[in-house]
Amino acid sequence: MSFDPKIWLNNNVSGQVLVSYVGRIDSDIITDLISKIEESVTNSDLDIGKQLKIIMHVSVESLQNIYHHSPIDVENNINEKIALFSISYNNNNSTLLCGNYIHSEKIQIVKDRIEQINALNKEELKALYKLILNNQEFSEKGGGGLGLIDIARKTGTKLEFNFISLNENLYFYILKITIV
Amino acid sequence: MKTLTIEGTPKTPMVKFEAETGKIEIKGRSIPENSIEFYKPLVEWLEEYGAAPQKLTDVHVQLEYFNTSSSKCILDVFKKLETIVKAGHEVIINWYYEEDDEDMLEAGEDYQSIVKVPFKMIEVEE
Repeated sequence: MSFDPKIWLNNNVSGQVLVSYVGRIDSDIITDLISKIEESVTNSDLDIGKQLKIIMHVSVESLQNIYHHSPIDVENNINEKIALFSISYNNNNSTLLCGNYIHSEKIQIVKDRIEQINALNKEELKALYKLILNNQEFSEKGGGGLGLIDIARKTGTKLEFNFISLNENLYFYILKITIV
Repeated sequence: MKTLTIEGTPKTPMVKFEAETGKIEIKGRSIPENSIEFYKPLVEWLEEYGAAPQKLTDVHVQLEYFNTSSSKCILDVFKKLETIVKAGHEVIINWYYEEDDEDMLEAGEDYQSIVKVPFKMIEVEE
């Protein structure tokens, strides 16, 4: 397996990088990253103050999605939960790149979910959010799939995704979120 | 009944539930990875309080951010309050949002449309 998430990120991130992280993810690392994000967005000389709340919100959801779903796969030499995460700023837009390893059998579920969300307008997203919030039991893991819906509601932009094939069973999932 | 007090942390809100006055406060950020664990004592406290509540239960929710995992737990808290209303007692949920934070206002309105408890939306300066 020759894929290196650090190299991938270096080659694919553009604009001014505010936060960039590739490595192990756990609860404490998420706490550190969140305070780093707040600090770098607040202290940057860029005009993104008004995007701060959305950036914070979307970052929390994305990092926790990665934390809950990033797999450990000893056979493929993945011995801990790995996250790829960056925030960059370009032409008045902020872009979040979020990534984690994913097993092939999960890809269709993620793809279908994102395509379903991308097909909905603002009102439909709100209705779906409320339906899941009020009717679905949540797992110990997370919010019953509310995270991506919430990201789409908050940003108002379409989610972009990519699955990079590493071998027959293993892929690297990239989610690109744009905040305008 | 004992007052429930929990200090705020970078990921969890300050909580103060007073049975003697019926004043209930949740303030700060609610973005823990495991929200169910954090909210369990709050829901349990309200269950006990609901057996003999004050004439007016005055709830103040002032959140800066909350994650989707907390959103369901917050709804569970509100549903406990709804039970108190159904039993014939008065409850008001004061939902605070910073000016220009339309998302937080909308989040409050989402809850308002789900639970049958009177809400008061309160705008605060940043």
